[in-house]
Formats: sequence, C-alpha cells, structure tokens
Amino acid sequence: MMLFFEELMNFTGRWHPILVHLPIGMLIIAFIRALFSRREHYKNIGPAISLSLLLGSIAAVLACFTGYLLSLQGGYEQETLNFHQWLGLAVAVISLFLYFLYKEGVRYSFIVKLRSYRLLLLFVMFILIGFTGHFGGTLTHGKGYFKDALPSAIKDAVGIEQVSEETILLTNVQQVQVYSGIIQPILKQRCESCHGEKKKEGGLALQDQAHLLKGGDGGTVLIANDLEKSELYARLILPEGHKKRMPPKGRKPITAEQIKLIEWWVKEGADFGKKSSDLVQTAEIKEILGKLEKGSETTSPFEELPEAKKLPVDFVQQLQAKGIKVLPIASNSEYVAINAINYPEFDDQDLKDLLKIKDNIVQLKLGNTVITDQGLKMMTEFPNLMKLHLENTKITDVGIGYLNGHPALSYINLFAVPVTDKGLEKLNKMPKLKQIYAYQTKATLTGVENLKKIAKQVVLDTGSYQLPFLASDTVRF
Amino acid sequence: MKDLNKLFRELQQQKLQAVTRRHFLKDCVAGVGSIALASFLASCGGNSGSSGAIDLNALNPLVPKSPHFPGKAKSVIYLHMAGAPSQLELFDYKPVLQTLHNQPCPESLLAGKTFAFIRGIPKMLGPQAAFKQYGQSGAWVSDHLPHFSKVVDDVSFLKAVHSDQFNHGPAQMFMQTGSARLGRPSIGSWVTYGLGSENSNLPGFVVLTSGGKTPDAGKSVWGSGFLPSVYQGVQCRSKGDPVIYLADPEGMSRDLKRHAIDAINDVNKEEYNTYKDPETLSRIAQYEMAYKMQVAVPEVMDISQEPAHIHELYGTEPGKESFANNCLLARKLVEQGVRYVQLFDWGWDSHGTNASDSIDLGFRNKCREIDRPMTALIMDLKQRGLLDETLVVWGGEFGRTPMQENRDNSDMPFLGRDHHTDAYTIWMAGGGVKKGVTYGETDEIGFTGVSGRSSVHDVHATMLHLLGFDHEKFTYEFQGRPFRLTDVEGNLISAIV
Repeated sequence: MMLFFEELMNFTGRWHPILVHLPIGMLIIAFIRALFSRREHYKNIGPAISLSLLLGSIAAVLACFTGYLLSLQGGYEQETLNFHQWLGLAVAVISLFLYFLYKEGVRYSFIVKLRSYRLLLLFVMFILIGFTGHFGGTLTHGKGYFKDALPSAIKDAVGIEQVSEETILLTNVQQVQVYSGIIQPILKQRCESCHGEKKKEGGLALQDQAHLLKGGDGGTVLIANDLEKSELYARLILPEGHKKRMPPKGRKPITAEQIKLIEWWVKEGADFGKKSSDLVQTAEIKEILGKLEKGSETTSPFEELPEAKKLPVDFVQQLQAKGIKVLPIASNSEYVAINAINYPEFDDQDLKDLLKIKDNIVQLKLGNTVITDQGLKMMTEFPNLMKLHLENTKITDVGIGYLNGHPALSYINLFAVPVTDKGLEKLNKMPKLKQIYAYQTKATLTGVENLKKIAKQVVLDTGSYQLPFLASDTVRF
Repeated sequence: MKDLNKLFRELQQQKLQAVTRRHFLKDCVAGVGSIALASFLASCGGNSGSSGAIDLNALNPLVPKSPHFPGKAKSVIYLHMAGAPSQLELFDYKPVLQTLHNQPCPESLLAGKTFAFIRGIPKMLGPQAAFKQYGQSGAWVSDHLPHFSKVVDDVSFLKAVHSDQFNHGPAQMFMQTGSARLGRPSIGSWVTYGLGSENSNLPGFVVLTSGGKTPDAGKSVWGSGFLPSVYQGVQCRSKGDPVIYLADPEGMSRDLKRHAIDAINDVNKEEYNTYKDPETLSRIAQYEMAYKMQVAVPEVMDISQEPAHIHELYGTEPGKESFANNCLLARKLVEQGVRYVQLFDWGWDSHGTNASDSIDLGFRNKCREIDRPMTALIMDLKQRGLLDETLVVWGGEFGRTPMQENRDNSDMPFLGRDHHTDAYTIWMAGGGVKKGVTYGETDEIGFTGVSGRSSVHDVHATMLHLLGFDHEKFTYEFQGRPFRLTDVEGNLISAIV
C-alpha cells in the first residue's frame, strides 16, 4: 500500500511541468486586464480580474503541490530548486492575496487600505512569475539553454564565445592516464550535460572519480572487469530506441569508437591511475588510440599565428574592386592570402600599397604579374608572409637576393622564373624556408647540392620529371 | 495602345500572382523579427522593403570565401573511375586468394549478402596480376600500374572503404553526393558553395569525362541538388568547342554582346530586387561568367600549346578525347585557380561478359590508359608547387568481389568480378594528405575490411577537413532543416591527414 502511494505521488509530481502553465497564463491575463481596465474604454473587463486571479491562484497552489512532489524524486540542482520553490510559493500566496484585493465586497479594513497598491503588487507578481519560470526552465533544460541556441551571427555581435565540440587530441596517447586523459573527456563531452554538477539525472554525476564511483540512485554504475554489470557501459550498447539507452534519444549520440574505449577501460580493470601503455591493447584499440593522437602534420602552418590586427574594410574593398583577391585564410581570421590571378597588371606600386596590411598577409600569389626585382625589396617588410608565388615573372637573381633574411617565408614558387643557382645560394639566412619550386629555371642539380649545405631542411624541386617509355605502354590485350 | 494596356495588366497580374499568402506571412515575420533585431543590432536593417542598387561583387555567389579553419587544400581533382575498378588487381594484394583460386566460395561468406549478378555458389578468383612493394612506404602495387608505382610515396591509400550501394548509378550518386538518391549536391558543388572560385573568369567547378561519355548515374553526379544551380559542375569537352554554344555567332561583336548582357542583367537585377530569388543571382552571375569564359575557356582548354615534354609525360594527343588529355586539362585548370575538377573515366565494369570488360584483358588496357596520365598529373602538380594545395582523389564507386562472377549461375566466357560494396581502395595525394600512409586492411581474401574501415561519408568528411571545413557544421538550410554533405554520419580519417 505504501508503494502504491509512493508511485501515486511520483505520478502526480510529473504533472507539474504541465500544470505550471495554467497559473502563468491566468495570472498574466489578470495583470493585463488590470492594466487595460484603467482605461475608460475597457472598464467593463474590470470585474473579470478577480475571477482570473482566483482560478490562477488555485492553479498556482496545485502547481506548488505537484512541484513539491516532483522535487522529492530528486535529481535537481539544489540551489536553483530552492529559488524556484520559494518563488513559486510566493507567487501562489501573492496571487491569492491579490484575489481578495480585487474581489468586490470585501470589507476588512486592512484590505481596503491596501487596495490602492494592488496594481503595483500585481506587477510584482508578474515579475516573480518570470523569475520562477526562468529557474524552472533552468532545472529542466540546464543552464545556457537559450544562450547556446542563439543564432551564431548574434552571438558574434554580442560577443558570446562559441563552444564547439571537438575531438580531444593528445600529443602522446600511450603515455596518458586512460581515465583522466581519455575516458573523462568522453564522459564530459557526452554525459555531463545531464549527469554533472548542474544536473544529476537519476542521481548520477560523472564529473570526477568520486562521483563516478558513487554511482546513481540505482547503485554503482561501474564494476571493474564486468562489462555487463557496469551500467556505465551496458547502457551505451542497448539497441537504439530502448528507453534506457544512453545518451537518450535526441541527445548527441556517442560514437562507436568512444564506446569501444570505455569498453576497453572497464574490461581492463577500470583503473584510475594507469596509462594507456599499461593496459592490454587489441589492434582495434591501438588504431582508435592512434586516431586520438595529434599527427605531426595535422596542423596547418597558419594555425600557430598570433592575434592579427583588424583588416581595414575599406582598403580591402578597394583591392577587391581592382580585381586583387583578398581571402581570409579562415572565416574568423584576420590573416589573408592575396591572389592576383585576375589582375596581371599587379606591379611594384600595388605591392607597396599592400604594406598597409603587411601584418595580415601570409600568402602572396603573384604569378604571371609584372612585379620586378625592385619590388621584392619590400618582401622583408611583410613579417608574416609564409608562401610567395612568383611563377612566370621576370624576377632574377637580384630579386631573390632581397628575400634573404625573411623571418617567416617557408615556400617560394619560382616556376619559369629566370633565376640561377647563384640566386638561390643567396638564400642562406632563411630560418623557416622549407620548399623552393624551381622547375623550368636555370637552377641545376649541383646548385641544389650547394643549397643543401646551407640549409638542410630545404627541399628544392627542379622538376623536369619524366616517365620513361615502357615496352608495356603500347601493348593491347 | 489597347494592346499596351493589356500587356501592363498582364504584368501587374503576374506580379500579384507571385505574391502569395506565404510571401505575406514571411514578410510579416521578417518585418517583426527585424524590428526586434534592430533594437539590439543597430547596424542590421530589415531585409524587406530595402531597395536600391545591388552590389554585384558582394552578391556574386561565386565570390571566393573562407572556410571554417585554414585548409591545406585549395583545389581538388577527383579522378572517378566509373564502373568500379578491381582493387584486387591494383592495390589490395591477397596471396591467400591465389591459393583458393577456382575453389567454390564457402556458403558462410555468401549468407545474407546480395550481389548484382552472382547467383548460387561462385568460385574464388585469384589475383590476376603480380604484386610488388614500392617506395619507402612499401605500398603494394600491381604490375598493371608500372608508372604509378614510382609515386606511391606521395600517395595515401584507404584500403577498406565500403559503400552500401551495389549498382553503378546509386553508388556513383552516393560517392559523389553522399546520398544514393537524387537531389543532393555533389561534392564539387558543396566545395564551390563553401569556397567560391578564385578565378572570376572561369567556372569554379569543371567536369571532364573521357570520350564525352556520361556516367551511369547521369549528370546528377555533378549536379547542385538543392544548392543554387550556379554551383553545379560545368562540363567541358576536350574536343571541339570546350563549352558548347559559348562562341559568339558570326557577326556578333564583343561590344554588342556586352551591351546585350548589360541590358539583360539590368532587368534581372530589377527582378531580384522585387523577388529576392537567389536563382536570379545565379542567372546574373552565369551571364557574366559566360561572357568572361568566352575568352578564358578556349585559352585554358587548349592543350596544343603545351611543350612536347609535357605531352610526352602525360601521353596526350591534342584533339583526342582521352583520360590523358583530361588529366593535363585538370592540371591547367587548377593552375588557373579552378576550385574543383571532376574527371570521369569509364569502362571499368569488369564482369567478364566479353573481352573488353574482362579482368585479364580489357581491364589491363584500361590500366594502361590511366597509369601514365595519373602519374604524370601527380608529378606535374608537384614540380609546379601545386600539389601542396591540390588534393587528388582516385577511386571508383565500389569494389569488386574476390569471387569470379557467374552471371545467373552460369559459366562466363571471360574472367570477371561482380560488384562488391564491402571493401575497395581509394587513394588520395597532395592537399595536406600524409605521404605514404596505407590505412585500413581487408581480410585474407579481400572480402571485407578488418581494420580501418572507412565509409563514403568518412571520405567526404576527410576531403572537407582538408579544405578547411568541419563537415558537421558545413550546412545548407533546405526544406526546414540544415543539410550536410555527410548527412548525419562521417568521421574524419585522421590517420591520413
């Protein structure tokens, strides 16, 4: 019998999210009526105020009652719950009181005295409803429910940082503690919005070792070496649509690889201290782990740039109007690549103009333009320039010499440019230089040897590749 | 005069017809919304009602744009071998399959699988090629590709790609648009939609087909789906006029053409100001593009001016319609700033029904046709310093079975393999792809992937990543929901980037 009552309470409590809307609507309409009835034209709605208030306050009391029952089921953040609870009660009490203030024929003297303040009190109640609703919303949907969903254009304008979900990449996956380095970030990414500090659905919180070991209302969720009894894992592999499956329908699903990693960790003893290399790894796990590792070549050379100065919009528009393409390297970046592909008239004067945004330029595509050796004198003034394309220009050894000492330049394209070994050898103080393309130049293989002596990391490609004719090339079967 | 009035009345009626209740509601929402927005975004005005000249430069849908993060690849050349070449005769070396040659396929392998033509119990078919390891990376390549074996250290192989479509049309659609059904934009359309075109005189997305033959799936494989049609691929021919009807008719001077286009664009701008239909912008942009293309396209599409050593390298013959010519064209186009070049070769459907589609005869001829050009393409891009920023992708729409095809349970006149979706090889080079990596492994007979399986969506996610896009955030609103190239799937294949 006790059980029946408990279940009934549970059931009744769940009506709270539906019932709350009744007092909100009714009490707000009472407020609106009270506002309007002050005007002569709407005077006739005055008598309806008290009825709205009566119904509204009854509904508010019901909402409070069901709300209390719901709160008994637990799983809500206590602080927010307190605010919501007391504010809700306040709304119920005030609305009931207001009913008497608005009801005709009540003659108690203190009520009659307070009548002149009733609209003010109604306004206070209106504000309280707003706050109560806000805290109630926070309880069910979590903090930042609206903020997160703002259109990104508005977020940018107001300056709210956008949190993007990313794969957690590690520098050395074998040397990292499995729990803190791999498992915890997965739990944080996939579970903590419902099972964390803010919200503890089912009494379960997963933000750290202590909470994870404590488990939820249904007891412990993690038993080392036992996949079937560890709900932390078992719930993840329930069939889609199963009501106990986690993450639940509508939430961002956990990836198959992340499930594999959790499986591996639990199966291998769910140890909180051991490193990846301490645990037995199947080929599959090895591969998944490999994916978590930051590849040496994964980052683009542009990614490590410091904050750049803001691009002057007017100047960029001027360039674009001329036909010079100014392309930010990423949508949120102030660094740009300049491309003169549709502006072959590009000359030294145009380059001089670009000095206005010299800090922003990381790539200059000046192939097929009329830039001269004298122009290249300016190149060292572009401190962040990494890639320089000069193919099919009239640059000579003199011009190449001016590039020497450039602090950032890593790529130079000299395809079909009349430079020789002498010119290339001038590039002896280039700390970042890695690639020189010198196909169809006068640079030679011995020249390459000399350059190699100066700078080991430089790869010079003189091209002229050929595919020798093979007897099999013409055989037809 | 009466007639003129009638015309005006008709125009008036047409305009009224175009404004439906839906427009009214939309305008209401936009209006109210913009009032609210304007209160805290002072600079942002309402859309409806604003008039005046449109800035064509800003509205041109092909204006170059920036990706989410700095991408390593700026252009893509996709070599699609329509018909699906056999991975077992090119890259996926399976010595165990050789020992099982001619033995009946175990029934356990066939259980629950559907094949396009195999019925009953087929026999296993050993690799019809000799394999060796090449380069520092030790990549396996068959003797059908003697030239290609020299550049394997610049290439990364995905050996366990899988599809879920076993017929050419849907599988090609899946490979090129991320969906086997019609209606989705092709990869090239997505990429030009996201990045625009760097050269305003050439289309951003060019399609070249060997011998002018259209793939089974039709032109939808380079269609723009629900994206504005300006992003669809422009098919260029390597013989005759590259783009048909591009040349001016006799007696039409370039000035006259300019005036005509200006007049048409003025009318179209008026139309756009009234209805704000993005397709009108597409139309304006296409007129402008066509005008510029009249000069730029014949120039870039003419390979006869290339030096002899380049022709030797690619094995090109100007005036012919061949995969080799298209490879050379692809390089020229990318050099000129074209964003996405899609090549289709055909004749790879080696069922064994006749000599030309048999795995031991016709297939080898096909290998000859692509071996030199695709190797030359990689080398040529490399020596020009273009491979850095150009992603080259090679692959078919699915793989081929380790079993010999027994069409409708009968003996075939030639050796052949049926369509196979469980495992096939795709390779990528340049554009930030790691060099010399082999990712994914198939079982001993090459039937299915045992590790490093990559789906078609994974391949797409990886391509977008190299171009600077997070495939989960690269979306287009259509019919009430944001669409992605990878729909709701796809993981970055981080082993090769």
